[in-house]
Amino acid sequence: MPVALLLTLDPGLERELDELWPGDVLLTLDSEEAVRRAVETLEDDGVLLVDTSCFPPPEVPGFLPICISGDPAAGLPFLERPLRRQELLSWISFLEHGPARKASGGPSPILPSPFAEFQRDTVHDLNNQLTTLQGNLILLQEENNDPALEDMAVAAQHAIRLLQWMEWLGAGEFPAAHFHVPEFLTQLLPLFDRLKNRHTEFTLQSTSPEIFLTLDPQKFLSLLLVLTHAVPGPPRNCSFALDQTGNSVRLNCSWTGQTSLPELPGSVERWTQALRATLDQGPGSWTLMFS
Amino acid sequence: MENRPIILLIDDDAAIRRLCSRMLQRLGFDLVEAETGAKGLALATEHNESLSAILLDMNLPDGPGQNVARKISELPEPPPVIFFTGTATTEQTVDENGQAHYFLKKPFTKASLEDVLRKVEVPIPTAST
Repeated sequence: MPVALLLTLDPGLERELDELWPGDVLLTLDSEEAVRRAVETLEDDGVLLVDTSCFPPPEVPGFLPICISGDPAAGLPFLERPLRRQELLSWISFLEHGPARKASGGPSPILPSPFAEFQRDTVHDLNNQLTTLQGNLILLQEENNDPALEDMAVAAQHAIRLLQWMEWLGAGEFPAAHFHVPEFLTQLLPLFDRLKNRHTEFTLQSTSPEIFLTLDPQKFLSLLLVLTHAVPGPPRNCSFALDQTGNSVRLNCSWTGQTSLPELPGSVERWTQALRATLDQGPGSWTLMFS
Repeated sequence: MENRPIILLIDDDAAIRRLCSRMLQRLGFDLVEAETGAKGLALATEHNESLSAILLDMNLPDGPGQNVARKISELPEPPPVIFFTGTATTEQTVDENGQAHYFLKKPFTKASLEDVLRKVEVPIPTAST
């Protein structure tokens, strides 16, 4: 795996790449000058990952640039966020061994998918609209107690949450993450009622505010969706209870009404194993244990 | 009448500029606006010593906001720059010249805007309770 230099001002991108990068050396630098100084001290060639929302891609001898996040630069490889490990590795392999190294004119011109760019720009514009909506609503609420404004503010907050999920789900592949489980579930619960035709109220009780898991959030989300969808009824209430004992995290789901065991698809066992969890079932409940 | 402190806002979205104007006026600031990086840099140069802070979108029609921020840092009295972003969390990072960079994630509220202004040590004329 080649040496990688990351040129960015965004600490979020640095963290994201840190989790993905399979090699030994990943240096994060915050100016073109720092990149050039670092290159002078390195013996090997490598890859230069450039956050093009911060910097235009510099020309650095021996280091092939890959653009991330901002505007694509004509003729250079481009990665969108959230980053996908396989896509990153594919570009690195291509740059190391492919025609880019052999051609005298530099890397082959490769443009990003117009659909991906359209999606990215649409999400950006939608974010601006929601910022305008929510921000002005809160200002109006400071002067006016009309309950209609409260309804609008709640709708705006929910729309923002849905946008965040769209951004996440639209990526198609999530990086492994160390995430805050109570916050994750709190954001997810309002969306769960769609699984039960909006008949069910979902609640969460957490014994500790600081419960974290390090696992594939896509598989975790998939497992939760399937297990919740399998709850018979639909019940009027469905309660999640989250607690931690030592290194074990326990997530219990219990419901009122029909208590018959849910029928679970075969994929549940695969996902449970992939997450290194165990699943217990009982009348009116299921429990996931992570250790 | 006492002069209100001035903040420069550089964002190509007119509705965002109007929203920020309302928020900042309620916080006791006057606002100077620009819709492009070039115009923003010209205003930053013109109002250099009287600016309390600069709010700067990372995606501008004439190039990345960070290019504008770099040129602003070369002014004699560069004010703190706060980047609007849709991806980074509200955080600070420090570059090799010791200049701090702050991020404010969209969507933001008057409270989160006030919070980041406090982080860059800008006094709030009409602090919220």
